[in-house]
Amino acid sequence: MTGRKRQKLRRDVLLYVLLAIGSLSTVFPLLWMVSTSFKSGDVIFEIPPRLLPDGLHWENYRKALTEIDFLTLFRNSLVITVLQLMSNVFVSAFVAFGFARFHFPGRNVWFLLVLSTIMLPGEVTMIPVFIGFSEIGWINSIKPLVIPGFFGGSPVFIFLLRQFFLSIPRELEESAIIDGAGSFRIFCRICLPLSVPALMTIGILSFQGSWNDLLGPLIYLNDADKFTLPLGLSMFKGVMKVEWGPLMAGSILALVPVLAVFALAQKHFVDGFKLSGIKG
Amino acid sequence: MKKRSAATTLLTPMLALALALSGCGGHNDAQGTASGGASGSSGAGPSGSAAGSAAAASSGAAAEKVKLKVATWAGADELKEFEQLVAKLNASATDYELEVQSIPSDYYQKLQTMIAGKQAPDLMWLSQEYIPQYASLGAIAELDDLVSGVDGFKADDYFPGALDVGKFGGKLYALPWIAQPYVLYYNQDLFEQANVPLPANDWTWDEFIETGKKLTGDGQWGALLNNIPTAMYTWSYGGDVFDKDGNIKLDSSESIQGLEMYQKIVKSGIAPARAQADAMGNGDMFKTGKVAMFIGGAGDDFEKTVKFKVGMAVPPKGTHAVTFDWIAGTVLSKSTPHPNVAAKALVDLTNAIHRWKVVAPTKTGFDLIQTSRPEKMYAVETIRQASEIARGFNNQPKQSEIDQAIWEKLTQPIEKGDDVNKAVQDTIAKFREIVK
Repeated sequence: MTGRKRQKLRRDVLLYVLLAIGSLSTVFPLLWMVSTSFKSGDVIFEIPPRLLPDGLHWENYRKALTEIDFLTLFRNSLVITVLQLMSNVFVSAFVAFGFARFHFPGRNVWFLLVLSTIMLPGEVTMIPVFIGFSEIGWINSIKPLVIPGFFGGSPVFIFLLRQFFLSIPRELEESAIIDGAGSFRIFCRICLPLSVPALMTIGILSFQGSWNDLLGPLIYLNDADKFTLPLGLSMFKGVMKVEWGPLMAGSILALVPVLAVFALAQKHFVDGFKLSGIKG
Repeated sequence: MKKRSAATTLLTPMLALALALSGCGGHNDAQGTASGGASGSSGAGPSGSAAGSAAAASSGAAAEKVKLKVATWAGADELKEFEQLVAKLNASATDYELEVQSIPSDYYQKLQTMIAGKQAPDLMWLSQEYIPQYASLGAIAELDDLVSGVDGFKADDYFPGALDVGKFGGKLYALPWIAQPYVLYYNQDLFEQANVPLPANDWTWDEFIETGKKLTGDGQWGALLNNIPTAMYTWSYGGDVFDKDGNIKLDSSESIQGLEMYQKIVKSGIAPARAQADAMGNGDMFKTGKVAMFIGGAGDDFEKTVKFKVGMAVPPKGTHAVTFDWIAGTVLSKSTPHPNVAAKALVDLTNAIHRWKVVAPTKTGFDLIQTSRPEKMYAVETIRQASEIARGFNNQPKQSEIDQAIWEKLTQPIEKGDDVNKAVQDTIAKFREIVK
C-alpha cells in the first residue's frame, strides 16, 4: 500500500515537474516581453542578459503611447477586427450551412473551388486583387479589408463549419420541418445554437488573425491616421535601429485585448477544437 | 539584407508582369507621350515635360499647388522629424505640396504593389540596390533633363561615389540623400590596456590582422567585420564583382587576391564566428567591450552609448584605399503627372534632407556634421577621408538575387575555409543563371 502510494507520489512529482517546465517555456517569452518593456535602452542587450529590469522605465510605455498615435491605431484595429469577425463567423456559417445541407448541381465542384483558394499563396493574388480594388477606388480605405468578407466569408472557416454541421443529426431538422420551419429558421434556431463551440473557436481565430494582421492594412491603407496597431508598432522597427523598449511596451498594450478575449472564451475554445458534436 | 522574404522574391516578377501588361504608358497624361517610345528616351522627355510644366505654370499660378506624395520607411521619431521637414518645405514652396506616405513595414512589397496598381507615390526613397531594378522595369523616371534646370541642384557638389549609385546605364535616376561611409571604430581603452598602437588612417589589412591578434583572447576578440559586404575586399585590391557595364569581374586576379585576404582574416581567428556575433547583436558586442574594433556606418551612435573612449579610423586597405558607402536616394515615379514640379520638389527635399541626415552625400552638406552631430567632431577629418574613397556597388537589375548568390556561394564557403577559386567559379555559374 505504502509502496504504491510512494510510486504514485513519485509519478506525480515527475509529472508536475514536466508540466511546470512545459508551461514555463510557454510563458517565458511573454514574461521576457514584460521585463524588456520596463528596461532602459542600454540594459536590453546586456550580456549576460538580465531577467529583471533595471527599475521600472515607464518611459517606454509613454513613448509607445505618444510617438505613435496609439489610441487612433487601437480604434482603427478594433473597427476592422469587429467587422471581419462578423463576416467571418456569420457569413461563413451561412455558406457552410448551404454546403452541408443543400444538394445543388455541382456542389462538390463549388466546394473544391472554395477549398482551392486556401492553397493559393496570398502573394500571388495580391497584385491582381490590389489592381482590382484600385480600379473601383477602394484604396486607402478599409473597404477592401472588410467588405469582401460579407460576400462569402472565409474558406478555412467555411470548411471547418461545414464539417461541424454535417455532424448535427438530420432528425433534429426533420422534426423542425414537421413543425413548419423553413431552411433559414432551421439555420438560425437549430444549427447556430448547436454550433456555439465551433463558432466561438472561429471567432477567436478570426479575432486574433485580424488583430495581428500586418500585410492587409499595410497594402491597402496609405494615410497614417487610418493605420492599425501592427503597422504602428512596426514604426519602432527602423531600418537602422530597433527601439526594443517602446516596441515591447506597445506590443503588451496591443496584446491585452487578445488575452482578454482568450481568457473569456477559453472554455469554448477547447470545446471547439474537440469538435465533440452532439451525443445520443 | 541577405535574407529576403519569399514574398519579395515572388513579387518582383509579378511587378514586372504587371508593368509589362499595363505597357508603362497611358497611366498619365503629361508623361504619356514621353514613355510611348521603347526607351522613353530623353528626346521626347523634355518636350513632354515642358508642356506639363507650362500647363502647371499657367493654371498653377492662381490655382492650387500640385499635390505630391513621398514614400518613406522612416518610423516613429524619425518619421516625425521628416514630417516637420516636409511641413517647412510646404510652407515655403509655391507650386507643390508634399504629403508624407509612411510605409512602416515591408517597404518594397508595398511599393511594388502600388506601382503595379498604378498608385505609385510621386517620390520614393530607395536603397541603392533597388535603383537599377526599378529603372530597368520602367517604374522610375530619368532625372538628367528634369533636374538640370532646377535651382539648387549641383551635380558636382555630390561625392562622386554617391552620385554614381543613383545612375543606371549612364542616366541619373536617384538623388542620394545619405551616404554613410563605413569606418573603423575602436575601443581606445582596450588598445591602451594592451599597449597596442592605435589604428592609423592608412594602414593595411596585414597590419590590421597583426593588431587584431594582440587584442584577441579571453572572451575578447580583435575585430568584428560582419557589416562589410564581401565585394569590398575585392575593391581593396582593385577588383570588383561587376564592372560599371555589368561584366563579371569576380574572377579577375585582383578580386581573388581580395577574397583570399578575407579568408586570411577569418582564419586568423581575430573575429568571432558570424553566427555567434549575429546572436549577440553585432553592434552590441562592440558596445559591451567584447570586440576591440568594429566596422560600421559613420553615423552610428557609439559615442553617445558606450562607456569607454571611442576612436575612429578609415578601414584598412589592400592595394587600393576604398570603403563601402551605405547609400539611399529619392526617385521620381514615372507615372507622376507633373514631372517638372515633382523634380523641383525632389531637389528641394533632397537638399533639406542633406541638412538633416548624417552623413550627407554632398561636400557642402558634409560640413554640417559639426553642428548636427557635435559628438562626431573628433573624427570629422576621418569621415571626410572615408567619404572621399567611399563607393557603393555596381548594382545590377537583379541585384537582390545577386546578393543572395554572393551570400550562398561566395561568403559562406570562404568563411568555412573552402577553396576561394572554386567558390568564385560557383558564384559566377550562379550569376550566369540569374542574368541569363
